Formats: sequence, C-alpha cells, structure tokens
Amino acid sequence: MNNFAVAGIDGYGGLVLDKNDNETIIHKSFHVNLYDGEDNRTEHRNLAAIATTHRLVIANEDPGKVVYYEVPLSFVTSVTSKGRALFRKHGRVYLTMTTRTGHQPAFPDTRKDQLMITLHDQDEAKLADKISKALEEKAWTLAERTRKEQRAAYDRVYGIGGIKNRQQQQAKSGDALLGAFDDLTTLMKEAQRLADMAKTLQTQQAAAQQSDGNDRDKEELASMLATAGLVSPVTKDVSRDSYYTDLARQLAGFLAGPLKEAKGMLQVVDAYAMYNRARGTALVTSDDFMAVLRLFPELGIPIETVRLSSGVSVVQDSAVGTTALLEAVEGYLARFAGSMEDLSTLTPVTAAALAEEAGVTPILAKEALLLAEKKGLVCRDDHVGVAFYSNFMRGG
Amino acid sequence: MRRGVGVGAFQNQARFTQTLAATGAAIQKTQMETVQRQMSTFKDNLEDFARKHREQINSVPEFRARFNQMCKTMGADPLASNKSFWAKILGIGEFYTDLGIQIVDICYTSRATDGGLLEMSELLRRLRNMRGKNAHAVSQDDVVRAIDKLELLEGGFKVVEFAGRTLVQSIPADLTDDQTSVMKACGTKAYTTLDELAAETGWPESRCMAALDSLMNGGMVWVDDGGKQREYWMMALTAMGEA
Repeated sequence: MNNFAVAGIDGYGGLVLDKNDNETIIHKSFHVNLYDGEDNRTEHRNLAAIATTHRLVIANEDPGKVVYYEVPLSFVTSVTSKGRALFRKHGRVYLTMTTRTGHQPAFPDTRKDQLMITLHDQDEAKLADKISKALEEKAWTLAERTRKEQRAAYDRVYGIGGIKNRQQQQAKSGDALLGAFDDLTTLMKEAQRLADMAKTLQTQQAAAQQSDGNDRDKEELASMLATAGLVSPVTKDVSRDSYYTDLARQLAGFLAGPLKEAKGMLQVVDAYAMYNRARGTALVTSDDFMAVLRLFPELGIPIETVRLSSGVSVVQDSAVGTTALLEAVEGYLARFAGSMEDLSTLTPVTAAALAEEAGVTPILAKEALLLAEKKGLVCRDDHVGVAFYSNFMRGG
Repeated sequence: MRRGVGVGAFQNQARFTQTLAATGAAIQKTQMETVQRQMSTFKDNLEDFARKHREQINSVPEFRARFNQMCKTMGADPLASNKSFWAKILGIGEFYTDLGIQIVDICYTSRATDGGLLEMSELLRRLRNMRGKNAHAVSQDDVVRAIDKLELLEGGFKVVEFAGRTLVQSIPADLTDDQTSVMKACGTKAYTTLDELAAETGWPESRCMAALDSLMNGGMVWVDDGGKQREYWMMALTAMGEA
C-alpha cells in the first residue's frame, strides 16, 4: 500500500469522517490538479482537495467516476505554497511526505516523496496555512492518545485503577453467572419433570410386567433412563450395547501388558488411571469402567475382577490367578529372608521391600504377603510395623 | 341392561377385562410417547444451554456445585456414564474423570510419607500446582465429587472427616473408632504421646498402644524418639508439603 488509501466514500462527495476521532473538514479547494512532485506529467486533473484535521483527501469532481485518495497528515512532514508568477498560471502547494519504512512515498504511481497540487482558485496560501495548522495540532495523535489511555485503563491491573477495573469485570461476569444460574434453574425444573414422569412410567411397567411384558418398551425406557443419568450403567444390563462391548475388548487388549508386568494382578483404581491416561481424551467414567469389567466373563475375556479381603478390588489374569504373585513372594524369600542354618541371616520381609523387588504396588505386595501368610509361607511379626519372616516350619 | 347372572354375565365380564387391558396399554403407550417427546425437547434445550454456558460449567466451581446439587435432587447422576446426554452435551463427566485421575496420582505420591491419609487442603494445593495456573479452578466440592466417583473402583479412596478436619484416604482400610480417637488426640499439633492419649481418652495403656500400633503398622503414624517421651506423629496432619 501507499499513503494514498482509498478514502471512505459515502455516496458522491460525501466524505465519511471519523466521528470518534472528532475529525472535521478544515478546507476545501476545487479545480485542482495533482502532480507527482514537480513533474508536470499527470493524469490527475480537475479534482477537489479536501483538508481535514486528520488527512488530505483528493476527490474526483466528476460524479460519474468518484475516486478518492487520501494522505494521512501523520505522513506529512512539511507543507509550503507558492503564489502565481510570470510563468506560473496557478498557485502551488507542496506536501513533503515521510519515507518511513513501511510507508511508500506519496503518489499513487510514483516513488517520489513530494506531492504538488496546483490550484486555479488562488487559495493555495489558505490551503497550505490550514494544513500547516493541522500539522501543528496533530489531532490524530490526540485521538490515538485517548484510545491508548482508554485501553490502558481497561487493562490496568495494578493500583486503584486496577482494583476498580477488576471489580467492574467481576460485576460483569457476576451478572453473566446470575443469568446462567437462572437458565440452569429453568433447565433443571424441566429435567425434574421429565425424571418424575419416566420414573412413574417405569414403576407402572414393572407392575404391569406380570400380566404382559412388552420387552421392547422396557428396553427403550431403560436406555432412556440411562441416557438421562437416572440409572447407573453398572446396575443396568448393558451387554447388548456396542459402546460397552467395544470398550471391553479395547480395555482387555490394553490390560494384557500391564497385567503381565504386575504378576497377573492390578488394583482396579490403578488400571482405571492407567487406561484413562493412555486414552488422554474421551475419558471413561468409573461407572462405565466397572460396567465394562463386569462384562468380561460374558465376552469370554480371561480377566476377572476380584474383591480381596482388605476390601480392595483387583483385576486378575484368570489363567495366572495368584500363582505368579505367590511365586514372586517365594522367590523373594529364597533370596533375601535368610536361612535357618545361620540365624543371623534371618531378615524380615516388608511389603515395601517386596513391592520394590517384585515390581508390584505396595498395596498388592501387602496383599501378597497376607496371602502367603494364609498359605503358611510366612509368619507375621508386628512388633514395630508389620514384617514377615519365612516360615521354616512349613511341611514339604 | 346389565345381566348379573348366567353365561351372558361371564361374557360381559370377559369383555370388560379385555377392554380394560387394552385401555391400559393405550394409556401407557401414550405416556411412553410423551416421555420420549419431552426427552428430545429437553435434549435440545440442554444443547442450547451448553452452547450458552459451557464456559461457566468448566470454569466456575459454584456453578458446577449448583448443577450437581440439582441433579442429585432429581436423582440423576450426570457423571455416571459417557453415554448420558450430560456427558455428551455438557462434557461434565470428563472434568471429573480427569480430576479423579490427578487425585489418584497425588495420593499415591504422598502415600509413602502419610500412609494414605492426606489432608484436603494439602491435596487441593497440590492439585492446583499440578494443574497449573491456566486450568479451570477446582473447589473442595469438586474434589469430593471426584473422589465419590473413585470410591466405586474399590481402591480405598474416600473422604473422611473428624474433629473439623477433612482428610482424603487412599488406602483400603476403615479407620476404627479407636484409631479415629488417636487422630483426634493428635489434634492440630499433629502428634501425641502415650500419656497424653491415655489422659484424653481415659483408656488403659494397653488399649492406647494397640490403637497406636495399628496406625503405625498402616504407616499413618510415625514414631519420634527425639523428645522426653516417645512421640507419635500423624503424618497426614503435618502438612509436609508446605516445607
């Protein structure tokens, strides 16, 4: 682009002024020609020159082909005028433009940085005078300054202005929140009505079940209730839903690796966290996760969910069971627990140490030791903390 | 002209029952259709709502709390299934699932020092650290709800409260009354001694020791022999993370 942007046009002759910036017209000259510096060759004749507080607009006088060019006064460095003389029919006004980087020189089709306007109406002095005054006043910078100040006030985060500003912002978002709460209340009332109705219908259907059960209707209603979150998928018969069966197969595939690493047993919570971390997005809720685990036997997937004596739930490789875990305990005992031959070698086994050595979680290590205790592999010592010693009295 | 006796009466009776059944079925069918229609209208409204307020659901904890409360009153669990329209349209389940996994991570990391009991304020502080400044704000209510969902996985996760303190438990054990009493005795200074505990509870020494031992075995209480008398420190109450 060059300094001559096409000015805002509002119909013929109607120059659009920037009202926000208090732009006003300060002078109009008609029948002017526009020259590229002092070069006489030009195709820009019979124009109107309109000076405003912000720019000089060159307009075509012919209503048929309205063309405006404009020079922002911020690009003008100086303005001079020459009156008529012996070989000069018209008065002249010279505008010198900046050649700042990013701004091309003055004229539409030139590289020069000077613009010459010739005037027939002998008001070259007046035009030059007005423009030079506008250059001194720099009305455009004033506008820019105010804008900057306004923006700064809005963005201010420090001091009293910042506090005020924040309060305003909060008030604004508070209002929005209030509106959101209203919307929410309305929405939930509607949901409540719907839920009540669906529940009534369900009770009725349950009552009517003995006489004639319409299975299709029942299923449809159940699926609707689940969609509304009114029935947990865990308690629902979900085996027919492909979302769950697909998820079950995917989860089974995922668990195979970690299960093998963890000696065939993983806490459900750990499996859940691991699986969701692997998914990254579209995370699976705990309800859905449990529902899927419960589907495994039905789908013939050899992973079972077992609730241990401590109350913790684990997923367990059905083929391996607790064998691998117990083997890990035995291996550990053989290597670290010492022997009866030399009593000074006797070393207690703690869950923490076993966990580290066997690569299972501390909770499962503890479970493994309790299991080993039950099988008579180890003896408990809970003098300070809990530790186990190898049971050297075991038969076999 | 109703006949009360004879074959005609039987026929009347049968016809009556049939009509009744048919009417009943028709009424139920209409009701079913109404519910279906309303459900689909509701879904549309929910979508509108989500478009308008999704940002608030994610960013304003109070708003989430209100929403969850309303769902509870209604008997709906918006966090149960990804298949529910709450999850599909509002995406609210994802927020809590994500939070739950972060809670699991934090509790596991601190378990070595606190034996699986972490104070709520400490958990919140670590959560905020972990999530960073740009993540949506998390309130205690959110954490409680996320843990509520974790409880289902039977990994021992739950929120326990005693003496005005809220702790998050991440081990599969129920605290006995005696153990809880020990924790109360530890109070704000986070430790107790055998004498203090005996004075506070009025228990014989053996009962005090049994309770302390069981907590020690679980790794929840640590022993400090540096003082005049052996001190039993409740790690969950020491706010180790502040150091």
